Amino acid sequence: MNSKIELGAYFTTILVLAGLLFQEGQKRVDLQSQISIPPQELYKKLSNSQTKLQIIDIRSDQSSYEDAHVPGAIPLYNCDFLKGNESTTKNIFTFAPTIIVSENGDENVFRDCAKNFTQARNLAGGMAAWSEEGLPEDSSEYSPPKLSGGGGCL
Amino acid sequence: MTKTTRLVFIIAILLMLGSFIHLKKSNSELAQTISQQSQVGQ
Repeated sequence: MNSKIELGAYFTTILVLAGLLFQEGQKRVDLQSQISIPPQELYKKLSNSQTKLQIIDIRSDQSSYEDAHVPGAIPLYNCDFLKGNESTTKNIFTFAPTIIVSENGDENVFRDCAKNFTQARNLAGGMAAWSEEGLPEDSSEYSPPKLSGGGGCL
Repeated sequence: MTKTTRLVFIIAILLMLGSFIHLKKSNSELAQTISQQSQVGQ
């Protein structure tokens, strides 16, 4: 077989497969966003230091957040980026794998907020379920991570 | 084209094909789980 034709065939096959893989990857992200993550599973993921997850607390008022929140959660009241504190919103990455924490895991509230993120999952049952399970909570104002900090734990 | 180059291409294609089949299978399982969950929810 002509070497150039053979090379072309290989490249075409690789390109087609890359396209198909990309398409399936997108589908995977879409499907995963439809499955809520149970509090216990989230806790296990957070306990694993290699897991990189961004937790966004979208409950409506500041006092709820300060009373109790998932450790490491970033407050974004009502999922409103415009009303959010600049020091808080600059720590939110829309392209990072994100868990959205609402009052009770309402699917509609989650869907509205998830539009702002490329990979978002809902915490099943929201903060209410997290508290019911007796999982660790933080109860303080949000403080952005320090640049020199590292090796945090729950 | 040398034998080594040809082998590299074939291995790359096989790996990509394997990944695609795995992802496709896993996606269809996930879709099934979601549809079961939504049926339970209703």
